[in-house]
Amino acid sequence: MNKNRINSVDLKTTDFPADKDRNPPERYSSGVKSNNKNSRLVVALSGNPNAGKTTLFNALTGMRQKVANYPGVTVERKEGFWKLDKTESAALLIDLPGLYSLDAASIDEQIARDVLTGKLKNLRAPDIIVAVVDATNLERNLYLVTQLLEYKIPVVVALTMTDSAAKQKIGIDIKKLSRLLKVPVIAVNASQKKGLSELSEFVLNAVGSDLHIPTELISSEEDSGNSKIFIRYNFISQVFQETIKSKEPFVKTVSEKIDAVLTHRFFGLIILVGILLFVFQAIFSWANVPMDLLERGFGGLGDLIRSNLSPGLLNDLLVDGVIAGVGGVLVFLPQILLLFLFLSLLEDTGYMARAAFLLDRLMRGVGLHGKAFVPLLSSFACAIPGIMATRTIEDRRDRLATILIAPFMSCSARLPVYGLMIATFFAGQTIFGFISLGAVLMLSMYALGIIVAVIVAFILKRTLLKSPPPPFVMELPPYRMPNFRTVFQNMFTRAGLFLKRAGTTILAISIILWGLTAFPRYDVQAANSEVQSQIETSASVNNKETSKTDNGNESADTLQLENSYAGKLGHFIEPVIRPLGFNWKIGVALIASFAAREVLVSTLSIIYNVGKDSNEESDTLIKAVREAKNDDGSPTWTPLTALTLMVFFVLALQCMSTVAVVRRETNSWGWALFMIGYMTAIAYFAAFITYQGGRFLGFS
Amino acid sequence: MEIQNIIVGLIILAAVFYAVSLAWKKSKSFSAKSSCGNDCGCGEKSKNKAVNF
Repeated sequence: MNKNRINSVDLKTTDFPADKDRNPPERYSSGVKSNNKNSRLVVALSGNPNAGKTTLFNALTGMRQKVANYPGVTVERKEGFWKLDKTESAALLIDLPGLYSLDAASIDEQIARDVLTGKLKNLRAPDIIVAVVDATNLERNLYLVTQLLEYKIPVVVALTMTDSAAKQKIGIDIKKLSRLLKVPVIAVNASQKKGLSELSEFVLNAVGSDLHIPTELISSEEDSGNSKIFIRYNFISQVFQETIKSKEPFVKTVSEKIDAVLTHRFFGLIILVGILLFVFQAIFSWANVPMDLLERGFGGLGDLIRSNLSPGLLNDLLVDGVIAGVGGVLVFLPQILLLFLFLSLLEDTGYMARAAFLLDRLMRGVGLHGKAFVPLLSSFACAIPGIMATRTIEDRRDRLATILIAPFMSCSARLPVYGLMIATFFAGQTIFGFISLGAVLMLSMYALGIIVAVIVAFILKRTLLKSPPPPFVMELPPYRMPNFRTVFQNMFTRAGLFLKRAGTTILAISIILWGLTAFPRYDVQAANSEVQSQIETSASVNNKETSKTDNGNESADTLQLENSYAGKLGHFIEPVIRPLGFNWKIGVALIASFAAREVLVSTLSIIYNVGKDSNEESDTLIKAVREAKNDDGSPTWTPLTALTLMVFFVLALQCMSTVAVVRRETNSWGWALFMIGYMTAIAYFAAFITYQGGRFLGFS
Repeated sequence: MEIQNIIVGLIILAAVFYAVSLAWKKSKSFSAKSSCGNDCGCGEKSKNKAVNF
């Protein structure tokens, strides 16, 4: 793990420079300002991922930055203007992608090399490189520095995370480090704006200076790639030993002791399952009260409008369309908040990385790249950032395989659908008397997505995207107390996005869907007389009662829905979804949910006229779903239908935004369409097996 | 025509207009540009602050 974790108390060496030390060594002070007098000074900022490069970039440029893409690729190009001193015009600061090396294995590394060698169009080679080095991971970070030194461009090292290094009792002799690397080294703390003016000074003095590559790094032309790497590591080892001050022997840290248990190949997995079960159980039990309150609140609001606004279309639209549709989705807000609270806590404590480590063996077994973890983990929140995070995967085939399976991870948009089905049919049931069946089902849905993703990846990596998985080393961050500000900020950001979606997309779709269910208008008088004749016919033929006989108004509503545009659409697709146990009403909701998954809940609220009756016993969606009947009087929904619908939602690609991102990231319509096709086919097949298999086993 | 019917017609038209404009924006994002959907949060991140590679 982290070899740099050395106990030392010599912190003075990592302090910020005193005034007397501010002047850089004379050999960097040749005073040439730029390679090209007519152009602006170009400075490249380079460093390992998470070394504090972005924070430093933001501190140096402030708001003077612009973000674009490098031509032809989806690697972000970030530039800003850095005012080096009062007299100089601002330098152009280019933030290179976070890199571990310049071996040109990934797109990011290729781009960085092209920037440094001036191969990019409209961007000349930089005049100077600021290498950002994480003081807590000096040995690893220095590898990139040794490569940067070979580019024959002046380098200034900005040492970040010195406060963390001090806490970890890592003492770094900055002067010696500078002497050994033969470049200026300066400690900076970007968030506190410390060392920034000194960095500017060092950069100005180093531009155009004579270059001195450490003799230990000079290799001959005959040296192979491997021997060059060996030379670099030898040099780094020497620098590390001479600059890191340690007074105590290396001892196992608390993190390493905890890891012995949490990353254990057997107990680690048991603990992981236990943690996830706890999370889902808590989501269900803790969210109950606020969800109930929200449900009552929306019910009360509907009643208020119903009783105060004169009867008519507007009354129906507001109560049955807007409040039932948007309110039906909004009641799941407490569950979304809790899900993101737990996800943020797990991430902030460092446990997420351990979960990834535990599943690494499984991923490698199917041929996926180790770096696929981060995108797949991100996809549990939303597939879009997950797919964008695949940019770090070097091999195109590995990257494609990861993109193609990312939407199988259950995102937060699926939660309202799972929540509704579980609350309707499986609430209050337990396994072994204490484990909530709802939590187990929820965990099973998440697990189903992972299992299918693994199977698909296995097949893809042996057929269409065949390539050997490259080796991968995972860095486990130390455990830490979660920053509650970050955790709550993340939670409320997600909640804000959910509310925004409910107030825009879902509201618009709810209104349109209500319109589709309300038009063309069906003659209620004619409907009632038709119902009466149906009752008489039905009673004379047999004694079987249908739902239509229960209530004349309900029958009129059913006839209105059946003859509406939405009803006709539902009837059109009914033959296709009938084998899954879905009737035409569920069909309408399924079609609508292809715009966004949560829309299923709002559509069901509209279809089942939630809020139509002021009777408290029947105004919830859960009750409406439970009581819904087919034309023959049989229940529309059963626990098996609910399970089938959940399986369909785990596996189907019902998100237009995801399709758009896949098209953009793969630069191909073919892959985007392939993804829609294969995921829909798998979802249909799995739902079919679930429903027909369940019936075969005697479940209703 | 009742006033309620006119208001309902206008609301539905506005909703259709919003949905169509949303779909239009989405279809534009199918081209290879450096932006993403705002509904997942990543779009706002790239707009407002620096992204860690």
